[in-house]
Amino acid sequence: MANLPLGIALVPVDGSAQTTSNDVNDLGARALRGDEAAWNVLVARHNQRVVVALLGRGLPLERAKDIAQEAWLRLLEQQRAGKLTELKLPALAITQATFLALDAARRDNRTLALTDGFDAADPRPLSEQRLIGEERLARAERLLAKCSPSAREVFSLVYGGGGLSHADVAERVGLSVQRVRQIVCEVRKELRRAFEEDGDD
Amino acid sequence: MIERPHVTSMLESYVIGALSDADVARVEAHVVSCSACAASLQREAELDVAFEAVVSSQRVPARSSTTVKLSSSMALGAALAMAAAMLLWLVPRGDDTHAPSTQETPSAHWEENVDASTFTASLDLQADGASRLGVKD
Repeated sequence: MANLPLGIALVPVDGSAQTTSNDVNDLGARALRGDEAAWNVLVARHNQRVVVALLGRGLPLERAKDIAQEAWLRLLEQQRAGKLTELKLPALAITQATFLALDAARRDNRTLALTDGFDAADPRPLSEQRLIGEERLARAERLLAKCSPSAREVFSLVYGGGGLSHADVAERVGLSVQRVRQIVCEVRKELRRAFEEDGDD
Repeated sequence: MIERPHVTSMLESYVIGALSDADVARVEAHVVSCSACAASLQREAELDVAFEAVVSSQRVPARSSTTVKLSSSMALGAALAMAAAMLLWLVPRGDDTHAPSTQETPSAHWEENVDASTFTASLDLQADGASRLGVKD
């Protein structure tokens, strides 16, 4: 178990972290009041998503884990300073982590992968800025457009930034967790193939 | 030196968060010392970034706002389908399926999108490189 310097422990994602969507509001409110137990659950629930977001932007695993941890610390510091009034996870943590990664890359005179469209002066969240090549984005867009409404609904919930687990999504759409993951994997397989074709060009 | 087996088959599950803690640890332990699996993991994560970008920028049609555009060649078929629907409107419909559809009427399939489970957030990115998180006035 990793421990964050501010006393927040990265607990394993066990049953206690697999909260239902009904618990999320309460957890967020408690975290905003400084409840460390609530932060523990939220970090455990969302940390891997933050790490994966950094991996997808070209960071090696160890670096991604370090920056993810630093991002959580920044959020905690903001909360403790009374400056964090709203909390949307994992989107906020991903945005903070991506910014930290960009800042580090800038200091090291490196570029971060998939960030061609990043504009630090753009007030929109990073997730809404163009962070990947237009052609790849268009590929993903076309692929999702071909999916059934049910599959698109699954994707909008899984990748919509609301931090829903597959179990949460399954409950909302009335499918099994296995079916939700199957839908995700099927569409990912198609996009993976398309990206590989791009790479072969 | 004993070479550990590659974890290629577990990488997608790692990225989508479907692994147990033990398997997460196994994947991570391998990836830090295997450049091939590290590269594969990065490619898997890139897929996530692409999907998140598409979904979060609302390039995936929202359930409540999706529109259907019919080409002129489809207009006659649509008219016939509507006439048939008017005749059959009392017949109970079966549940939605997941088969791909080339002509979708999302308003008929998608339920009201109710997502009150999350808080909103704000992060202002400053041109000088600083960030400001949900700062109170």
